[in-house]
Amino acid sequence: MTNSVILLVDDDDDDRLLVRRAIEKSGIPNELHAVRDGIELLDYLKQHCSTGRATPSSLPRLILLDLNMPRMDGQRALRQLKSIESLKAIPVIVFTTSQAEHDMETCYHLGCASYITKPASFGELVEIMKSFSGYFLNGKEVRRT
Amino acid sequence: MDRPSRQKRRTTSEQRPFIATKTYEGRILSAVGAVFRDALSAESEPELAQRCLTVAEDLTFSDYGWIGEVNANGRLDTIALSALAWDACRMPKTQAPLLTGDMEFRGVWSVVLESGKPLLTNSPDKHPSSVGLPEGHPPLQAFLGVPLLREGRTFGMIALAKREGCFVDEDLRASEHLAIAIAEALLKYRTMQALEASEHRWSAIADALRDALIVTDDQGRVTFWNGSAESLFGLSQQDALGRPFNEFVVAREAGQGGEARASESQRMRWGGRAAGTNEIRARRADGTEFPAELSLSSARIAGSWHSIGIVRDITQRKNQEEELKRSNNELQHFAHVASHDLREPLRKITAFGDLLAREIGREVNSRALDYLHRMVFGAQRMQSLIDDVLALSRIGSSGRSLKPVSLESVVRGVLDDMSTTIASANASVQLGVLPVIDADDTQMRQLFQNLIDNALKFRAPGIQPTIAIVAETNDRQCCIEVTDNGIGIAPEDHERIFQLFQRLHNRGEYEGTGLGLALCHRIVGRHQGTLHVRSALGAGATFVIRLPCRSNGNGGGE
Repeated sequence: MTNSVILLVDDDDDDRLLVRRAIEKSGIPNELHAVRDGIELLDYLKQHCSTGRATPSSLPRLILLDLNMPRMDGQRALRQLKSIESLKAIPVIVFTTSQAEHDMETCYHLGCASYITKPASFGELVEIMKSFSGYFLNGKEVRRT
Repeated sequence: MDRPSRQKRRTTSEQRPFIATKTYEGRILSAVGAVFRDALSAESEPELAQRCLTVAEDLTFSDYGWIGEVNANGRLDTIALSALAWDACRMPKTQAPLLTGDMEFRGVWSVVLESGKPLLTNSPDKHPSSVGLPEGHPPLQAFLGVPLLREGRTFGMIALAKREGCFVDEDLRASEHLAIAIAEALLKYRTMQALEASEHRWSAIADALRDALIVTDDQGRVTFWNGSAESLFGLSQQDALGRPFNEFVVAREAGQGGEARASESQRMRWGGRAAGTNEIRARRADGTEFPAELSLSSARIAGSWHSIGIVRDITQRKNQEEELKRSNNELQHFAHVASHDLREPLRKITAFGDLLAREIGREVNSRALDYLHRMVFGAQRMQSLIDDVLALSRIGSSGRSLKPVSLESVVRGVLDDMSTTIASANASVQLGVLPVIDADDTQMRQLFQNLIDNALKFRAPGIQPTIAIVAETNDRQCCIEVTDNGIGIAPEDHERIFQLFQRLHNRGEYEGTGLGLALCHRIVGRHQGTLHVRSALGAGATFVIRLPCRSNGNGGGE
């Protein structure tokens, strides 16, 4: 299962590049797939796991979700995703520049697994990716019963 | 009696009904009536005195007469003189002032003035007090003098004379009665004049006021309405008088906020005993409304409580306040948004700079790598500046309500967070008993974190840093002192350190954005407290925070 996809949802080209490099640097073997906003995210998920046919391997292993995006922002995407029974088990890590407490509270309330503020240095970003790998990628998959 | 000359003098020839009256009492009553009628219609005091003299002459069938008054120097001033006497006077013109003003008490007059009793003599030249007539004085055979009394004291006299014939006792008694009326009429006339002058002065002042001045009776009905009230409310005094003032105050639904409640209670109190200044919504006669400041006081006028209100149109002030509030909000919003948007490109500079250094670090020479590091360091510093500005702008905008906060646990939390820094500085920290006060806990944490950070940063070289945090508390306020044994601050810099971006030291010596203490100052200010420093160069520093223990019900904010 270690090869399942990490899905990055971010409209910022730079951040997509930085995350890609950081994942390589941290030695995470998973494939990274990037989309630009909430709508693209939901489209991707619908394509890859249409109702009833969803298998654990076709689901992303982890979603990194930016908040401030055009068309559909991170919070709306998170709310929709968590309302779909077959998708709600995917761990979502909010990955944003916002340090506002109310953003953090709302996202945890909506069911995000973690809330990370985008770090300033590349070194820190690598460290963050390594810790993700420890928490969410190497552990045994949690299956709903 | 035939008096052709007198008929001629009275060109207005008003009917004197008492002359025709036959009875003694009837004549006196008519004369007294004439005096009071004259007192009401006379246009000046000399005119009144002159009319009174004519009545006295007619009553006693005198040929001529005079009324004098004791002046401030204790001498006599003429206030009325019959024209006949004047016409017949043969005295040289140079002696005229002797008759009209500031005369000595002389002859038979002085007997009346000094005794305060009337005097009748039908041979005045033989009276023991007689000093004779001045040259040219018209001849007189009978003299009748009556004092004018005020509360039993003589303030003047009436002198009457006949060329021929004599006065009888009836004339004396009649003139005594009349003198009472004349004295009363003269004094009342003066009081009326003084009142009128004071009334004029008062309404001139009231009309010159730029604020509306309104008086209401104990029922809240308008009894006075000055010129500014006329223009402010668009209603003349004539139309406003008698109307309830409530008509000019906008009543609002209860529960529409503090201002509405204040105006409501003001409305209820208007008309009774009241005092204070409140902002109200006032209503003009045409129904339009305007914000106004109402200063209310009360006074007892003619036995009942009246409210005296000064109404000032504060439309302009309100607009300015609104404008200020809006521009403050905009500024805060701008600072917040700008800081957020400024952070993004900086984060990219830092992150890609970092990445660049890693990727090519081994390939480029050390000088190029140094430049890259300086660049990244500059961007990082810019980032912390923006973070601090953002924190500063949040103090104004996040008007969170104040709740009881244990400062002791706040400081313990801060010390815990900073334990690594404290340990690496080998600092010793003493924490006294700190109170629980109404505060914003996040901001209290920022406050103490900055102060402790400051104490550690500016430690004196070669000495173990010590920090003491102690408090003294009374019912109303607490005083917290944060004392260190660091390098201290020169007295001339004590104000400056709390200003934005002020640094006393070179960046190479001490890190920091120069915003920490400004942030502290702002936090304490938002809590209605004060922050100042006690220090000298090289002698450590004590930051003194004074904060109220209980908030005034709201979260403060700016």
